[in-house]
Parts: sequence; C-alpha cells; structure tokens
Amino acid sequence: MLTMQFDVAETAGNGLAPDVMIDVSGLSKSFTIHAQAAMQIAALRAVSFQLRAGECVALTGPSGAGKSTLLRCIYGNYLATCGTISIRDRKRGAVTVTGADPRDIIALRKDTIGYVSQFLRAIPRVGAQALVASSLVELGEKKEAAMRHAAELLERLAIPQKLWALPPATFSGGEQQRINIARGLIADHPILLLDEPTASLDAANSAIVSELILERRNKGTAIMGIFHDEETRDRVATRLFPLQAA
Amino acid sequence: MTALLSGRGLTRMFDGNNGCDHVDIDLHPGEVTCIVGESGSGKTTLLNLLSLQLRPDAGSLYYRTLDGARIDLGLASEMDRRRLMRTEWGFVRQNPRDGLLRDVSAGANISERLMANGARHYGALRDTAIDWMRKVELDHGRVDDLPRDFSGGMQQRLQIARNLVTGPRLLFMDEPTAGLDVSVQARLLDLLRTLTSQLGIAMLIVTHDIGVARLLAHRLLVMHRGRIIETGLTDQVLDDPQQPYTQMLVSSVLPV
Amino acid sequence: MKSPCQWNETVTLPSKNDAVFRNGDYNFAYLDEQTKRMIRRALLKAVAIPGYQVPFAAREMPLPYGWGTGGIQLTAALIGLGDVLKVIDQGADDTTNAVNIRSFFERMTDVATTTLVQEATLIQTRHRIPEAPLRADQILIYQVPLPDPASRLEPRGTERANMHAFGDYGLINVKLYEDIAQHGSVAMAFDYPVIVNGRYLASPSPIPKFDNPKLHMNPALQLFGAGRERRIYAIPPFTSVRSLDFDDHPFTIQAWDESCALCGAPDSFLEEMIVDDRGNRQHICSDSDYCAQRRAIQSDDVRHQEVMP
Repeated sequence: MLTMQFDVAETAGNGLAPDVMIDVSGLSKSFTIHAQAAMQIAALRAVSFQLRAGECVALTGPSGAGKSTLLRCIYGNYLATCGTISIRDRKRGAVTVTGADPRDIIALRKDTIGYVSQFLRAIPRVGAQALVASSLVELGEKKEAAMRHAAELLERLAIPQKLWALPPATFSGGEQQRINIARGLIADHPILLLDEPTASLDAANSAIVSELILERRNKGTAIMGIFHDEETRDRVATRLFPLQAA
Repeated sequence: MTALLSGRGLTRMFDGNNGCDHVDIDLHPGEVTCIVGESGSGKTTLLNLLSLQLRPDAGSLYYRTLDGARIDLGLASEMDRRRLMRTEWGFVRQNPRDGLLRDVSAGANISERLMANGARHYGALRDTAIDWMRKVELDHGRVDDLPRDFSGGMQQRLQIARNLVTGPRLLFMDEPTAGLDVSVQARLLDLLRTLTSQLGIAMLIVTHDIGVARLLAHRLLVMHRGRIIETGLTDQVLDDPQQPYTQMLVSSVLPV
Repeated sequence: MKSPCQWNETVTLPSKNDAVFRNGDYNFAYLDEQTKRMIRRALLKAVAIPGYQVPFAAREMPLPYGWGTGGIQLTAALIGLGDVLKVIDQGADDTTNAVNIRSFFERMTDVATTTLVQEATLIQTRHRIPEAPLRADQILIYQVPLPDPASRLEPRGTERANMHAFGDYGLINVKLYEDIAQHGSVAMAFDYPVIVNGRYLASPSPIPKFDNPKLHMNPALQLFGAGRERRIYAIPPFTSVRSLDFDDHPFTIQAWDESCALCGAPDSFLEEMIVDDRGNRQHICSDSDYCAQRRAIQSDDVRHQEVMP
C-alpha cells in the first residue's frame, strides 16, 4: 500500500540531515529557445523534496511535467535555473550540485550517483560486457574482476552469452535497455536515478529488473525513478512524488 | 594552483578579426577538455597559444611543474620551453605527416624524443618502440617500416605513440580524427579513451566534431569569434545549451 | 694559467711580407688584408667555441665551389713567409687538386712547400688526416663541403640553428638508430658526425671514419673551412671529440685483412687500386707520404745491410 506524501524542505544550504541523500530546495528549471525569439519553456517550478537512504521515490505526473528534467538536474546533466540541490557524497560529505564545478560533478557521478537513462549511449567498438565493466574499472577495480562482475549481472539480466563481446549498438531495444541497467547498477552507488528502466522490457525481464532494484533498495540505496509501468512502480517504490506541469 | 596549465586573458589576433580574444582556461590532470567551434572561431589559435607555438599579444600562461612550483611560461627561457614540449607535453597534429619524420622508421619516430633526452641504448629504444606499438594497436612487426607504408589511421596512432613515449602530463590534439574514415575514427577514439583513463593525462582536444567531444571529453568549451562563450560538463553543454550560438551548434548536428 | 699582464711581453712580429714576395700582380696569399682579418676574427671565434660553426663572408676564389675554396681561404689568411705548406687530397700529395692548390700558394706567396708531414707547419687536406702523429706547432686545415651533419635531416636553417643553440641533437641520433634498424650497423663510412668538446655537433669533413679517432686530443690545431656554406669551425688542441654511437653499438673503425702492398703497413688506411690493364688490384696506403717514408726507411735498411754485411 503506497501513501502519498508532500515533502517540505527542511534544510536549505549545505547541511544535510543524517540519512538524507538528496535535498532539493526550490528548484526551478526553464529552457530558453534562442532560435525562437528566446521563447521560454518552464519545466520545473519550485520543486522541493528530500530523498533518504533505503527509499525508492517514484516520480509521477503527466507527460511534460518535468520528471526526466528533475532527474537530469540532480545528475548535473541540466543546469538548474534557480534553487539548490545538495547531495551526500560518500567521500566529501554534502556537495552542492547547483553551481558546482564540472570536476565536482564528475567526482559525484563516479563515486555516488548512478544514472540509468532511457537511451543507451553506445561507445564504438566496446563490447557489452566491457561496457558494463568499465564503470568498475574507472573506480579502480582490476579488469578481470570487473569483467566477472559484469558477467554475473548480464547473466542475471538474461543477456545471452554470445552477445557479451559484441558492441550493443546493434542490439534490440530491450537488450540495449538491459545493458544500460547493468551499467548503472553494477557500481553499487549509494544513489540511483532511473529514467524509465523497464520501458522496452517484456514482463519477464521487467520482473528481473524490479528484483534488482528491490535488492538495492533493501541494501540502503536511495533510489529515485520514473516508472511508466505501474506494476514495476508498485513493486519497488516506497512512496510517490507527483509533479505538476510547471 | 591546482590546475596543470592556466591561461588568463590570452589574446592573439590576426588582422583584427580572427584569433583569440581574452580567453581564460584551466586544464587539470586526468581531465579531457574539448574546444569546439566552427572554423574561424579561434580554437586553433588558442591551442597554439597554450602549446607555446604562438606568442600571445596579451595575457599570461602558467604551468605547474612536477615539484608543484608554478612557472610563468611567458618568462621562461626558450631552453625550458623546449624541454617542456619535448618531455612533459605532447602535440598530436591533425595531419600525421606533419607530426612524423617521413624518412625514418616507425621505431625511430617513436624513439626520437627519448634520444633527444639522452637515451643511448639502441636495444632498449627499440624495445620501448615495440612496446608502444602494441599499446596503440599497431603490428609491432612493422617497427622498421616507414610511415608512408601505414594507412592514415595507423599514422595517427604512430603519432600518438611518439608523443606518449616520454610519459607527458599534458597532451594537445588538433582535430585528431579529421580526415579519417568513420570506422577508423571510431577505433582511434576508443584508443584515446582508454589511454586517457589509464594514463591520467590532461588532454586538450580541438575539434569541430561534436560527436568526438561527446565521446571523449569531460569538459567542453565552446568558442565563437575568438571568445569562449560557454563552458561546462560535456553532456550538460550538449544536452542543455544555454547560449544562442551553442544551441545552434548542437541543433545542427546531423542525427545518427 | 697566465694572467693578462704576463702576456704583455715584447713579441717579434713577422716583417711585412711585401719585402720578399715577388709577385707584383697579387697581394700576398691572394686575399686582401681586410679579408684576411675578417677570416682571422672568425677563426678566433671558432677556436673560442670549439665545434661551433662561425659564419664568414667567403670570397670569390679562382676555383669554383666544391674544389676547396673554404680551405684555401683559411690557408691564405694564416700563411706567412716562415711557414712550410703541405697540401694533400685523399691522402696524396700528387693528385691534380693537391698539385694545383700547392702551386697556387707557391705563386701567391713564395712560401716553401713540402710533401713530408714532419716538415710542414700548415697542412691543407681534403678528406684525410695524415697517418703520422701531428705536433703542437702544426695546423691542419680541412676542406669541408657540408659543415652541418643536421642538414641532411632538417632542411630549415632556422631549426638547425635552434638545434645547435639548445644542444637538441635527437634528430641525429635518429639517423644512427635508423641505420642500425635498416642495415644492422651505422652506415656512414665517411663524414661520421662528432660531438666536439662535449657540446657541439660537427662534421669532421668527409674523412673516413677510420680517421675520426685522430681528431680527439690532437696536439695540432684543427681548422675547418666550408667556402660554399660560408662556415668556419675549429677543434683546438687537446679537445675531446667523440663520434656518435649507442652504448650497445659502439663506434668502430674500418679494418682490412691486407697490409699495404708497397710498404707493408698493417695499420694505415688502405685504398684498393687497379694496377694494370688486366684489372689486377692492390691495397695501397692512401697517405702517399706515409707510404713513401716507410719505403725509404726500408730501402735505407736494405742498403745498410748491403753495406754492412
């Protein structure tokens, strides 16, 4: 049974309450399209909430409400127009994402935040297994161990072994999506952002992914996601956070 | 000073119109920075200023040496500048023929910087050259072949090996994949990605190809008419461009 | 080391040459006095910076470029009535070039000439160093076609100037590496580049590499003149001269299985000569004076033995 809650920002600025992993305060985002006479499109208006360890918050709302935009602002992929986003980094404590130096965001992404986007950005010539393993290698793990971890995850996600050495650009949508998920989940980050993780998956594969998400949630990972598929949402989310069109 | 190389107010203009106009830039170890812009934007001028191939009309350039000292490159002696360019820095040119010695073998090309720094053992030099050919995925059996016996993509790898052999901390690249076939480009980019993360080098890449920037760079600088008009994380600048020119640049990329 | 005030001794300067010199159509030694001074200034610089190529305003000489105009200008600037001149070409006193240059100076100076190396005070040479060791009172003047070994590899003069200025000689070592890679050993048998006084790279002129060891720590002053390239350089007496090599491919000189067919010398530089119309060959000393003196000693010995049973 899910309950709906509305969060009120408790802390602004750098301090974070003990188990709060993400603190968003008064976040607004609008896009200015210069090619069309500087037309402004508002995507988020004064959004505030907190995400705690062990939670899985499902963003809900109509299309265009800014769900993806919110995830991308947290990840540093979009620049907030105003407001503050603070994240608890494993090594550095509270880090303010809004207005941060690119190097700080890179460090955050490496150590703390995993992101599964809707689209797999394939790197030429890199095989699926190596692609998944690369996140671990970047964190300092030895190549052989990283490849083994990747293999375990790919098996779990039912990717046939004959595909592991192939670059995923030619895989089906569902296969690509599962590679994407493996890549995002393998590094065991304390925060996970998931943008439609089961969008192109059939029921069986969706169930596997849900299981994986649940495992992570139970380990204490703070998760925020967009799940168009209500069954998955109901299984993994601890609460909903609705967004209205700005 | 935590940046490896810092430029402040760098200016070099040609005919009052083209060139580089009051540019500030910082390069950090282990970070790949791409400068994108159309031709005439001044990106090559900036690259040449930073790599000491051009003297600025105004502005300063600072470098952090291995022992942590910060030197003003404008005041450094020519001797010191040349030593830097030969040991701690590398420059990969757009056309590999400009960056390779035409009439000597691959092995000689790769070993040259080591010999310039005083290496005197032929056997050791040859072994190093062979080792580097393996790292850049060239057939090391071809260590005695001349550059003209290699294809364009292979020549480019040879150029990369030639620069990396002294373990530079900073690598400049001018359109490293321009003029190469698409599949060859892909292999080269993959190699560069691997080397970057393995070696912790600071790289500055000038390119007009946004796909190259997205694949390789941590940070992106957009140049237009001699100025840096936007800078930030690569994916942020490409997915959420703020400036009119950047938006135009990004939207002009043909979708794959 | 002498302090400057001790140098202020009374020195007997040579008398003006015109008094004894008989050729009224030319100045002594062909060059005008201002030109000689210019060359001497260049020589002083060259001696002060061993191995460094000093540009000089080479004059038009009555020989075309490539025939020793640089060496001739050096000899002309240095020669005085008290000198004894020897001229050799590929080690021989009697080839066309050596004969011509020697007779040129005979006409331009009336200075004594010789073929015996011990008697000479000035020795102008093309492409060889005499076998007999030289003395501190002798000057060896080399004819040089290309003074800069780097010119084979780097066509830009500005860049070569930088290479010398910064001691940036990586490119030359590249040439050596390449020779070993392609041929198994360094392929230069002549004009083998050297480092003078541990600093400057120079061409020893197209002497065989066999002669390179003689450059090192030689008691004689060695001067090099390149007329077409307009460069003068010097190796002062007792200067270190090192032939370029690798630690695992050290510099070696030529060796022959044969000895000289005429004088039996086992350790001189031999040339293979075709001695008759049937194409028979012999190895003979390239240094004609060295060979002749050895033969003279041997026939003296023989006569000695004949006289004294």
